[in-house]
Amino acid sequence: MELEKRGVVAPLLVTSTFLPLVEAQAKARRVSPRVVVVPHPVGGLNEQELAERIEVAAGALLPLADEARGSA
Amino acid sequence: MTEVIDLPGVTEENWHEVAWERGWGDGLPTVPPTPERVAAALAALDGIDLELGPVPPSGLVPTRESFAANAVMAGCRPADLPVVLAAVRALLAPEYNLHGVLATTHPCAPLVIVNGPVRTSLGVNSGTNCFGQGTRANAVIGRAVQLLTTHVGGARPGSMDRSTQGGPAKYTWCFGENEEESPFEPFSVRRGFAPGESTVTVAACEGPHNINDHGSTTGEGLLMTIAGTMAQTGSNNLYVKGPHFLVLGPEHAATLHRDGWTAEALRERLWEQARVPVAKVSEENQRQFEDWGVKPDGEFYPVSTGPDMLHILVAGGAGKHSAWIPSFGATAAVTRPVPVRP
Repeated sequence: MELEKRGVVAPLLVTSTFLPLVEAQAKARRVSPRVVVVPHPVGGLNEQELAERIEVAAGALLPLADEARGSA
Repeated sequence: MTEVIDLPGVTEENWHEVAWERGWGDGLPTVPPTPERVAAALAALDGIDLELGPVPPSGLVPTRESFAANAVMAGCRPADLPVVLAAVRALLAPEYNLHGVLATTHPCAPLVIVNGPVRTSLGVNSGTNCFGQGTRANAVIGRAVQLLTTHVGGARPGSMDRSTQGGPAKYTWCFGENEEESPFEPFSVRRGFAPGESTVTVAACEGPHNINDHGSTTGEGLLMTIAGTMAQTGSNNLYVKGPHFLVLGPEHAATLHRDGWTAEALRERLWEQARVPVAKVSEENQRQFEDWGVKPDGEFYPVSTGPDMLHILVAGGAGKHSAWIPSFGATAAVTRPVPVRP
């Protein structure tokens, strides 16, 4: 969130299982992070499974960047 | 036989003090077992044989009322009683060794594992934080079993319960298997019960020993961490032997399953891999082991007597943690069906 305050687009990568936790923490801290949600889990994956997660995350990054620039 | 005790002048307000003065309870407040509450609890067992054998070390035989009163004191709802009954029946099996379990200096507690649809109907937690606080069914079922052995069996701490340090599991130690996220057949099915049948498995165990592995991405990697956690010099399972449990978190279980590991193959592999080098055991303790008739297998001490002593199941929620649960050793894992009203 500190980076976002300084104008750097800094999305938070979160797995679907832990999204409610992130939302609750964000509400408690009164912040609204940009989140990229990928399927859970991330740990314990082999290379191919991890590549699938990366693809999902990468696909979400550009729209977030566009949104941050106001061109979405 | 135990008797019905009338306590004139006892109210909901002063019950905890009265109970505590009489040596009843585990230190936390209990629910007053009024005749009405006991009757309501017993109604849940209508038509179910409630005859139980003597409970060691006292040898007292619990009456229907004393069984139900302990469950009420623990906070059980009437619907919890069939599970408590199955657990007590299992504890009274000779191979469980209740007398030894209750009088030992070891910190074991009656571990209660629930399988089958009763987990859902009672809300037994088998997912996130299933070993911990926050779920009524887990809390009260485990506590009821402990209170019954304390009150009827007479295993009060400091007198018959001679545990050197005890352990928090002695308050309550109950969870369900996460059958929905397990890649293996339910634990109860692997123990010979029908799919869909509710069961309770008990064993005299320590609390869970965490197995943290966030780094391994393969079954082989996980097995190295699991085996390393199980190979402990200070465990009863090293020389008293007996059952022990590997409770895989669903994510560790998924990684192992993806890499082709079955529950049976895991047992075999961990029997070979989870071993303590003789050099890590003091010479005095090696002599103690020998007095128990335990000799190393080559340069290593295995954990327990064979792969069949390791019980593998799945419980917990998201995250890269599993648990190893060592036992008292001189006990057995005993499974009983949860009785159903006719």
